[in-house]
Amino acid sequence: MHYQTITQLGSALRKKETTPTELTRMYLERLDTVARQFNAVVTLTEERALREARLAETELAAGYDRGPLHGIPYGVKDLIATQNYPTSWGAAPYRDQTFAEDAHVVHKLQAAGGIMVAKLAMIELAGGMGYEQPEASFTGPCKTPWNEEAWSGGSSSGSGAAVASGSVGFAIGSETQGSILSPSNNCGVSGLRPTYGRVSRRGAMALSWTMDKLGPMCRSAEDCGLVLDAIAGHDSGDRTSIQHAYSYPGSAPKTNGFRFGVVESELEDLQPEVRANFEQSLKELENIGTIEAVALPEFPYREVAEAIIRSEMAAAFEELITSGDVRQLAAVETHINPLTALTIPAHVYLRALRIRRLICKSLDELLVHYDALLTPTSPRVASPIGMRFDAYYEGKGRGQMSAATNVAGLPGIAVPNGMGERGLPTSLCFTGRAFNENMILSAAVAYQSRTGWNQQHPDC
Amino acid sequence: MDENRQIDAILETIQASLDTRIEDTEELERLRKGIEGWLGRAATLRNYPLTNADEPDFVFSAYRSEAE
Repeated sequence: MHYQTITQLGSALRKKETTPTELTRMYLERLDTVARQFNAVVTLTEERALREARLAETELAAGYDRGPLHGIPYGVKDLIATQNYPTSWGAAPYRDQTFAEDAHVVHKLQAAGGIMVAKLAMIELAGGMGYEQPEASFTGPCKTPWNEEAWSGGSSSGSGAAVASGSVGFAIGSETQGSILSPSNNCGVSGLRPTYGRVSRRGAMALSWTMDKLGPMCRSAEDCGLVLDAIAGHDSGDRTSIQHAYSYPGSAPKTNGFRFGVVESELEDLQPEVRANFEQSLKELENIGTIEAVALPEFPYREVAEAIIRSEMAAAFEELITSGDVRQLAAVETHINPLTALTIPAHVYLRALRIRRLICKSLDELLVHYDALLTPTSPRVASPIGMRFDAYYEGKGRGQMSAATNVAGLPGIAVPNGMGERGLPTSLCFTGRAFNENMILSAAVAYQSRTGWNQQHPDC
Repeated sequence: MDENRQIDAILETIQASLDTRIEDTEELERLRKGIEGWLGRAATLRNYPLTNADEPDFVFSAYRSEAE
């Protein structure tokens, strides 16, 4: 039962094979035992969960159905504010921090009948201080449920590990640059990074105001669509949230006839299994669409991303950095790394924003010809827990897609596509045009219906 | 400006902004490397050609409340 998708769990609830309270107790038990062993949990929200479960039970019994998430237990990355429970941002200096109100995304999930069961572990301050190894969290290094010697990815570490270990029905993560897709890769789950502005950021920790996105992490692409449907929409409390209405699956979702582009520059320095699984994925996708090679337009993507994120981070966390409280963070390199961001001149930040406009236009001109761009989500499977990232990657194979697509605020979805070394999952990424989540979701759903990699789960 | 002098100047600017100066040799070396990396990235951005008409990707809007 615990590895089922939202759709399957919802069906079981409506057939009265289980109840919201039973599901809630099951996931609370797994969070407290299984997920904790992976360092995926910060706080269980048991009292709230059981209250929300009783309400869902009463409503469903009375025939009042709020939709697919009604009665489904979920967890949120611990940078999302919640009433009556601490919101630690994954960092020791904030471990007792509380907020008077729930974040907007939590309000939306509550309105959809979701049951919050946990605040989930994360890289401290969403990785904005420049961490270089998996230990950068006050809850310890989060492990992928596929192999306890390997990292869960970050910064939405606990969200990935909790979904993969069947400890929640789904989870909410956040991405500034890679923080949903990386743990989705390492944990073998389906993770959707929505278009910038699709989901309100109100009540979520700000790392980079112009690049932060909240999105779902689930056990299927379809589940990602169902969760996005519940959390998307304009919020007057977040001026960057967009007015476009969103619904999933929308009218007549596509099942074939897709136009795919493969970003060739992202295929360098792949691990052999990552390459083989990507090539096998292309063979599957040839059955439902056309595939051609494409080149990313030439831009200094990484430099633009770094200038924007680090300038905004320095403004958001200036006091923490200059006071020396940054030394309370778990990763020693983050005691020094953020200092350089204090001196990025305003003209460099603005120059990055000027180049950003050109990047957005240029990528849209490329994407108008395709339903999705395809890449491996990561060139490598999860790194070993005790290893620094520079030693693992040896300066190779980190690609430009993450910087390019996050700078441009484009949607992307990562889905598992096979197994690699050390029994770890590999992943396939579909990137779409802005505001076209439904197209990449359709492609990912079609891929999953043909392969079933998302139905694999670790033995835990 | 000579890059080392530039790094020294930025380093001193950072030190002046901190409540407690950094004295540890390894930390200072990490900081110098970080500054050096930033100067390189800033140069890459500076070398990307832009015209005067290329505006930053943000839109400011004047604020007026609903109150009459």
